[in-house]
Amino acid sequence: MAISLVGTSTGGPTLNDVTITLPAGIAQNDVVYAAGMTGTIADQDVTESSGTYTELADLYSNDTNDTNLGVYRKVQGATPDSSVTIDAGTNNIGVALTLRGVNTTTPEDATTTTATAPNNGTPDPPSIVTATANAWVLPFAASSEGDAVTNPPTNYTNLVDIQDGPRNVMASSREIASPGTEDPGAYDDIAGQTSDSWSAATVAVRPAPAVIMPPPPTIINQAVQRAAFW
Amino acid sequence: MTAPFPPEAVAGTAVDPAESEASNLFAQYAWLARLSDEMTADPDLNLKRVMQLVLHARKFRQWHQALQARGAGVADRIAAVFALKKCEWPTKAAMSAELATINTDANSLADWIELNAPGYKQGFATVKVAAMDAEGAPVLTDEAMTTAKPAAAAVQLTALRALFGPTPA
Repeated sequence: MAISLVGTSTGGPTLNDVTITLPAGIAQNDVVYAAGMTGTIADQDVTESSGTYTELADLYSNDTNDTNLGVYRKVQGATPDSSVTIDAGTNNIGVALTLRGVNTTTPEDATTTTATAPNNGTPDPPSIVTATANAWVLPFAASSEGDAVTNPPTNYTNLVDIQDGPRNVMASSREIASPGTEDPGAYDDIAGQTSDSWSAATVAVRPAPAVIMPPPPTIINQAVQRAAFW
Repeated sequence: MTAPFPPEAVAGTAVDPAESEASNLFAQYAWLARLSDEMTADPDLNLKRVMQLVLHARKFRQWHQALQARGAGVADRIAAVFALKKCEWPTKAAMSAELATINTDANSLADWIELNAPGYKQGFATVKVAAMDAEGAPVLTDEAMTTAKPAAAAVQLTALRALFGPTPA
């Protein structure tokens, strides 16, 4: 089953926990990938408030303008969530991608890869090696530079982003047809300065197994059918 | 004829706050529609749904009030954002009146829930007594808890659902 996008969401800016409203069409077995960040404060233990999400990354990048980024995932149950709340310290912003057609037993196709860097505000999410055909790669990123992001990395779509002062969080997606190494490009719209920093986590999402269709019934006597037709 | 020059193409232009607020309002509107529909049909009260209803009623009020404060012309921006989501009214006056009614009724229901059923907050992340960690503390789970639906809640849920049209085919 191919992965598809249910919707993208943003949350914040808020002084404390950021609540991201998820798309109202969310259903059981949809998978939510959410990220929250804050900038300019020291290392935080970024958490998801309900405790029902799996943490894929909790990153900190240290410079004059710091970044804290947390990335979370949840397979939705019979009563899907209508929101996700992330606490990244103070002045939080967040984004979420809600996907359908994900393998709910093993949602990630590879261990999430992470990268951080000081002296630079342009996030460059790390490469990841996918194992399954048609996996989706989601490069999540945060920067302490609040430039508007209007372009995802080359070949990526479904950009979702939000800025607030020295805070910037974003994500996008790309389907990788053949398994292998995928290196998302940078979010080049963000320039930044040497006082900035960024953090990024690249998530590979595994599609649900294809449904095996039963073979069509065999036509036993084609000669008779052709005769009847003509 | 010339094609309109988009305001966003002017260097230094920020996103219109009213557009962002209208998008936030629509997200809450969509959830109130879904929750009123499913909770009216459900014979019991799902505590997680109850929590979600209160959350989205409050957020609807937050964005509704923010948009009202912007004054004249804001209905045009709201109508434009809702039209992108295939939600259109015959007139902007009808839209404004019905959004105001939804705001009032949804928050009245949220007030009633907070007054009469403070335990609804369990639905945020249901604590199942049966689920305990190694040291005996409750473990947060995602299993929904339900309770009998009070008649007063049923009446208000039905009234809230009636503010929205039929479910699309």
